Amino acid sequence: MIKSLKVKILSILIGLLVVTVSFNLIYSYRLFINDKKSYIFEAGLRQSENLNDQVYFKIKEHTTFLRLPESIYLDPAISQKVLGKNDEILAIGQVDSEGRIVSVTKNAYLIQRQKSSGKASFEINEGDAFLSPSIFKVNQLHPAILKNSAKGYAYFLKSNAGNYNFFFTTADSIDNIFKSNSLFSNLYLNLGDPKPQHPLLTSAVKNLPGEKGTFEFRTEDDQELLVSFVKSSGGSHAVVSYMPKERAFQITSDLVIQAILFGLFLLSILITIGVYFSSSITTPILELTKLAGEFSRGEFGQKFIPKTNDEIAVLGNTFNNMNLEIESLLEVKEEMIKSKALIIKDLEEAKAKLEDYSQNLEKKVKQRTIEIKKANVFMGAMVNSLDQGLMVFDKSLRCQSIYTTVCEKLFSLVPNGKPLYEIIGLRNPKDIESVKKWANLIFTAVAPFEHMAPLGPKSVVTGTNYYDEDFKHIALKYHPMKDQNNNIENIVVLASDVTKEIRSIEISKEKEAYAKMIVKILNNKAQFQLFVNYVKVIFENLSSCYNEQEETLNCEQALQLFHTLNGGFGLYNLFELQDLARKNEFSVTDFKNQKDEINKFPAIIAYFESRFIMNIKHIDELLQTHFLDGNITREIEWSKIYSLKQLIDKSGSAELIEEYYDNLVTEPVIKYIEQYSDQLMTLAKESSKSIKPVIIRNGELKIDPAPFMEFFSVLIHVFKNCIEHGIESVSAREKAGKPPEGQIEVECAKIIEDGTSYLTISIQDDGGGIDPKRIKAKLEQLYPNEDFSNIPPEEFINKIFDPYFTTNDKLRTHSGRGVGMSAVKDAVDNLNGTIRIESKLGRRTKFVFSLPLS
Amino acid sequence: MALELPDHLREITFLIVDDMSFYRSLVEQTLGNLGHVGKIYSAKDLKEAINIVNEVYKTGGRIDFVIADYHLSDSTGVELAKKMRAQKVLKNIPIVIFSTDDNSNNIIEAIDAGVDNFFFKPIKDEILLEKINFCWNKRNNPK
Repeated sequence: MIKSLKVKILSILIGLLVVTVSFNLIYSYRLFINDKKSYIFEAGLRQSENLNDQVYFKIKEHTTFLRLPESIYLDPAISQKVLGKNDEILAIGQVDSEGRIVSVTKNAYLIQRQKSSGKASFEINEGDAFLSPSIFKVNQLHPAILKNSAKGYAYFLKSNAGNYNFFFTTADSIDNIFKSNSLFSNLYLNLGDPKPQHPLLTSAVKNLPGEKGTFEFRTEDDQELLVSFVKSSGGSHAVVSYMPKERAFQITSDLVIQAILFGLFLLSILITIGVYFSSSITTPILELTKLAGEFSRGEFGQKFIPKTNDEIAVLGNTFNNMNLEIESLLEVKEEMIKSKALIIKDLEEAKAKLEDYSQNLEKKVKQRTIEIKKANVFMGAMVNSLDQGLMVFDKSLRCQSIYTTVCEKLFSLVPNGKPLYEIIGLRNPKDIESVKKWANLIFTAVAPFEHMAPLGPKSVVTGTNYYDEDFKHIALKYHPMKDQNNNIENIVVLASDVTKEIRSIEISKEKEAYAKMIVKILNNKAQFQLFVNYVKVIFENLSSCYNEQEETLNCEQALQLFHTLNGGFGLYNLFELQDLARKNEFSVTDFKNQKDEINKFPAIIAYFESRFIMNIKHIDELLQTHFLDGNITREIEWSKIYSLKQLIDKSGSAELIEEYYDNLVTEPVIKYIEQYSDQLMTLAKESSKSIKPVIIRNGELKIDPAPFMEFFSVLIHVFKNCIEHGIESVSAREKAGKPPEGQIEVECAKIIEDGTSYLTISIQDDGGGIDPKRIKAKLEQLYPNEDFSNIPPEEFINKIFDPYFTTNDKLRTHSGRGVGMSAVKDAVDNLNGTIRIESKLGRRTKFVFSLPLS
Repeated sequence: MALELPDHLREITFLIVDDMSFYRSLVEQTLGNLGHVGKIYSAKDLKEAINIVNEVYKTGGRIDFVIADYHLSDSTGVELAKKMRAQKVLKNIPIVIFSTDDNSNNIIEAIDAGVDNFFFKPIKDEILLEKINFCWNKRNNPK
């Protein structure tokens, strides 16, 4: 770049110089050439004129007119006079009287004849006439030059007027004239010569107008000439002076070369100066450029030191200032860049994240869509699997397509498009109208939804009684669906099948009533007995209301009686009977209008009475009372009976004592054994065993239970033992070929042995029996220091009554702590009784208790 | 939230219509619980209610709120609403009815006839307060 600048400066300078010099040279050259040309032409012309004059004078001087006779024989004397000895006669012409040349003898020559006299005579040898005589006007004395030979010129000489005059001339003097000039070459052209020596030049001169002129001429051999000519007055001849251009412009060429050389000299000087100046400018610029390069690489230490005191120095100082400013700016910028770098990093990370996010977005959307679909399916399945029906109703109160399939089951119809009142089975037009109004009030937002919702249909109930099979209770709840402006758009109806709940509520109500009934009866046994007796009378009276023969009914009385029953049964919570009484009241009312139905009355009474009997029987069984028999019972305190016993004992009457014992003391044994029956079933279930209800034989056996109270209370342990250790699991029993359910049998007896009466109770299971080996092993484990080898196997069985003996490794709720059987043994011991165990391995175990009766 | 009427409702005039004097006094008592200190007129039936209204308006007074039993000895809440809504001065008075049973049809009919809201017996402070507030705002600050 720097070089090119230098080159540029130089090129421009040189270019300018060359152009200037060239222009100058060309212009000067042209000017010079033209000037030279005109000068040469002028000189040539002068030369020609001069020569022409000289020729004229020469001819005039040397032309001799001769008055010659017709004979052209020249007297040698004459001819001697006219012609010098050395003259050459070129032509002889004849001139008429008027001066016109009549004929010209060409190539006339003097023939010197030696006459006998010895004198030489000249004879002009006649040649051809070559000029028209008119050309010459002798009197005008126009010289004409004939070039007829290489030797020289002929002069036409005029004759004196009136005579034929011959003229003749010689050529050598004229030739001398022409030879004398060295600058120009000269020619004397005979313009009339048909075969001139210089045909082109001759014709060129001949064709040019005017008496004299100049022109440039190119010869046959390609030589350029500058020609000046002067024509003779007759135009027959011309004097031509010419100079070859080469010679004419010799000096000019020299001048051109000289100018070029000078130009080159100037150029070299200029180039030297130019190089110097351009270097003085470009060197500091180069240095600045180099420094700028360093700056661009971030090297700011360098400074430009100006060596001159000119614009470059100013530029350098500016550059240095700029350098400092840039350096400080860069420092600021570097700080900024450092802080920005962090931001950029963050941005790049964010960008990467964004790209990653956008790349994953589609994926995520797909995944999400799948999840949503799954969730939808799940929600649908869940909602549909609920017992709750969901329906959406619009302003026309018609069910939208959004509802759960449960609705179809709940209402036994497809709700889609049907109005709410039809779906819930409303038939009363008033009710339907009301529901419509209600919906309208909700949608017009007369009051808040939650205020209005309770006024909607609350439930759909089918079937009359909860215990009916077709009983169904569907609870309805309402929720609003609001649009963006919070206006109610739809009503969502939530229908739940609460049949079970209603049933259980009703059942629990009934149970509560039943319990109340029991309590009422127990608290008022005497009154209830009186009521039962009274009811019996009422039934008799009711029967008598009907006249079988006449098929008439005393409706008033029947109604009154039923009404009495209604109130009475109600008092004791006998709701079934109360309900029947109420129904019968209606029936009787109906009989007033439908007399033909009256004959159904006895059947009604019979059914009512049978239900009454069943109810009271049930109560008797439950409470062990005798209301139905009419036996009025009373509770008497034991102390009062005991004082009675003392009186009887005192009386010593065996009959009284026996009566006393039989009626007031003894009780059937079964009462004390039966109590465990339910407990045992539960126990078996907990032990994953299966048993049949306990069989009790001879349980009616009456005894005075007082001494045996402790025994009966611990008897449970024996039963427990049967279930825990005796009866096997169902699978084990099936393997052993036994029925899956175990059986426990109890047998009671009164025996007399050695004068003492004993109560014997045997409890037997059909289980796996007791394995003495197992007991022995357990004992050895429990008491490792004792020796059991001497004990007979049957004795081991009795070890089960030892306190804390158990074959179980784990503690259980009901057995296994090893205390139970020991308690049984203690109780039996207290009664001075005995226990016997009969066990058959794999078949059964039997406990036989013998307890003396005092 | 305190179970009290807002300040601007404490001194308004109520008209209570019920055939049972016991229930009328119960409503009065409840209003008192809610901090009401204004005037309360009581009527045993529709006829008496109309007489009271006429008398009050004749003497330059006004009724601000009506609480009535749906079942009146000589009429129902529907009639009451119709009568009131037909008169210019009574047109915008809030009416709340109450009923011992929950026969929705009657209530719906009454609301359709112009009753603003309802509640079921037994009367409860918070319910009455809510209904009074709602009806007052509805009639006096329409959207």
